Amino acid sequence: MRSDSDKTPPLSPATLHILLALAGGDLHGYGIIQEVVRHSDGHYKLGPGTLYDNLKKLMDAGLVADAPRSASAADDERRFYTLTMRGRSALSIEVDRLQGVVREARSRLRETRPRRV
Amino acid sequence: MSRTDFLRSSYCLIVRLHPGSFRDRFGDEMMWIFDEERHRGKGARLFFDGILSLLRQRSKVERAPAPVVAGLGLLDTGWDIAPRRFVEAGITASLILAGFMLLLGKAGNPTLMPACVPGAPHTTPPRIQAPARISAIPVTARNHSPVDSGKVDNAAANAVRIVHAQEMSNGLAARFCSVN
Repeated sequence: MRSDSDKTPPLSPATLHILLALAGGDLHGYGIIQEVVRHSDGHYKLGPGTLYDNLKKLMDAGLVADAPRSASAADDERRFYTLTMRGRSALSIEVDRLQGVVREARSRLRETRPRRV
Repeated sequence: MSRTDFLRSSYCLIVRLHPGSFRDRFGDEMMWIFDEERHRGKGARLFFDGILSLLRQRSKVERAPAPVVAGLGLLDTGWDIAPRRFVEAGITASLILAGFMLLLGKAGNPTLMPACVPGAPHTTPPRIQAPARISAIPVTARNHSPVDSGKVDNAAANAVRIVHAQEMSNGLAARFCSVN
């Protein structure tokens, strides 16, 4: 029997960062860009073109959706995006996959001893 | 038109060149983010991001089955590419070129592209006069290739080459004599 992780292909770095940013709460586009910079310590920067290209894919796949507007933000023109249950599940599968990669890498690094020159 | 206005107009054009569905959905937000980043002095970076996004979106549209041919429809190109695409490709290429020129101008190196730096004076490098006598050239300068120094003119360079060749031949002759 195949698990969910077998069905889901690995996420691209941009997709992973966007899902990670939205896992903390609903954000608008610029908020996602800022959150990605924050949680990657400035190592990964998304441009609006890359962001919306990936957001479109994620929305088409049903992993991200438009967030319902609250009454307080009704006059705000900006659109907010939210992670769907399916998106949360995809992120969880990707994190498990990455944990497996890290575990394997660590065990190999322990096995490999540096040669004496 | 200032540089920032030019960048904004160019970015706006890039957003408008995106496919209609994408532009209607995200175009305003892309412009809003561009304006926010522009105030922080990071507009040029987004310029190239926008061009990449345009190419990605356009390639998706071209790959998707499209029964309706957009554009003029009068010119038979021989391929399944509408003539409008050639115009868009030309505009995109011009924008990329303009962006590179702007970045080079931003780097502020007038020796690379002096015409790209507004107000940069056109100056010629000062010509260094040849020394009156060959013996006036320091020994260290004679021991190195004069072509590499780039600071002597042709007459002096030829003179130093002759001295250098003479010294080498003298050295070889002395070594040959000492061996024999």
